Amino acid sequence: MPDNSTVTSAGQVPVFVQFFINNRPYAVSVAPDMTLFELLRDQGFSSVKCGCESSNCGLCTVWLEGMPVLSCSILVAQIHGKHVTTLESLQQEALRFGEFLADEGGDQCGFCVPGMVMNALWLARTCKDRGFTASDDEIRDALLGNLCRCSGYQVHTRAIRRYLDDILATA
Amino acid sequence: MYTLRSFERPTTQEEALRVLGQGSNHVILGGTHWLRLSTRAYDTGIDLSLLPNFTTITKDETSSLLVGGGVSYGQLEDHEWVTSWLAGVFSRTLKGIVSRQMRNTATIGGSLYSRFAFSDTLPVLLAADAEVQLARAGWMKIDELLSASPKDLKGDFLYTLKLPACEGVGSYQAIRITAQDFPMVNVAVVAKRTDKGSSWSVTSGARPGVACRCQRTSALLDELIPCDAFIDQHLSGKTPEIVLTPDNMKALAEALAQDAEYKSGGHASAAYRNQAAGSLLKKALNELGGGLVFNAR
Repeated sequence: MPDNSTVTSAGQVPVFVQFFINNRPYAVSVAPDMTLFELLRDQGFSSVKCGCESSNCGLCTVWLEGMPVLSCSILVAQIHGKHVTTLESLQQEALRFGEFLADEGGDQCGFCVPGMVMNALWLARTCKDRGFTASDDEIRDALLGNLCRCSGYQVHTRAIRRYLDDILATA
Repeated sequence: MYTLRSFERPTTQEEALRVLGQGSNHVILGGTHWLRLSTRAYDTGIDLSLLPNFTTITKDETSSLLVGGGVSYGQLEDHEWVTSWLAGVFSRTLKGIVSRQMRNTATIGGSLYSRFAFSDTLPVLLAADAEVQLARAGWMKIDELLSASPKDLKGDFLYTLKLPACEGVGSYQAIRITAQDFPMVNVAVVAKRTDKGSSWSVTSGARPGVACRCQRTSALLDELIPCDAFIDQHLSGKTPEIVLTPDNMKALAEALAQDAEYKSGGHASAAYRNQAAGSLLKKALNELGGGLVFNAR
């Protein structure tokens, strides 16, 4: 809701927003055009990075209500009452997936990896929930929003395939 | 990045229209993917997500699907009704747009109301005779939305998209420079049966103008491939065979070029679009028929 009691020096009316990051409640008063990416970096979530600022590269991927979204294109004011998940709270799953990624040589320069891991882990949870693995098309679709300039995606696709097989076998 | 002086979150349609009508420098916040590419300074950003039924998907009494304007592409592409509607053509079309992350916040209302010429969704919805409800102007066919003047749409927003319940099958084909780019030209082909009968519907977009109906092409398809029998075969689980002669295919491509009146633009020349659209139509028929059979006679 608008917080009309204060107008900033830039003439903006701050917005009071309550939400959760990694299940921890937050209540902040922010500029109406502050992006979720800016807030996450301010709060120390350094896994979230900004590459293209045009909804293409996927570096700023976080989960909003359990679905991957681009935090550089969402305003903090729009996430009132919602749950945000960053890579910081998915360390165990990320570590396990990272082993498959490293085995396949998919770590490369590493710049795109945090965003790519967010999408891979989302796909893994989707597969676990429905009880069957993803098709190659689904894996490619999940990776389409994460630009990688090193690998050509084959290694990531193989790593995700092996990771999905592993977690479904042990589920 | 655009700037906002203030933020409003109306809870009723009346309140939303009032806020929208209060000034000329307001902006409705949808997925904001396009908006963030601009550097414009707005007075107020309006978030419509608290409006009743604005972010939900429901069915009406005719089993048609009512999709709130704030529903994301991601919600729609995964929806069970959508994945089976016209053999999943709309779901597949949505899946081809940029990336999962982007589609999870891009809203159907923001996309359709903007009437983008390069839209992937408009050709399919036009071919399927979808309807939209604007908050101020009320219900209208997609055709009317596309032909409305900007003045008539000012101060309004798309509240609901209606996907009509019907039997049938569809195919959407587009050609792009890269997977995440806009289409250089696109074609949708739908075979649809309603209580008024069965017919083929062909549409094309990125001409570079906004999507249009291709009446001559649709009529020619109706002559060449009996629509009712084609849908029956699909519904019975068989893959229908489409038998055309090379001359038939040439006539269809020529009719499409006449109907769509392709022009040159930043993405492609008119000559390229003419050539590519014919190939896309062939590809669509190939997909629908499970492999085109060319009869040499």
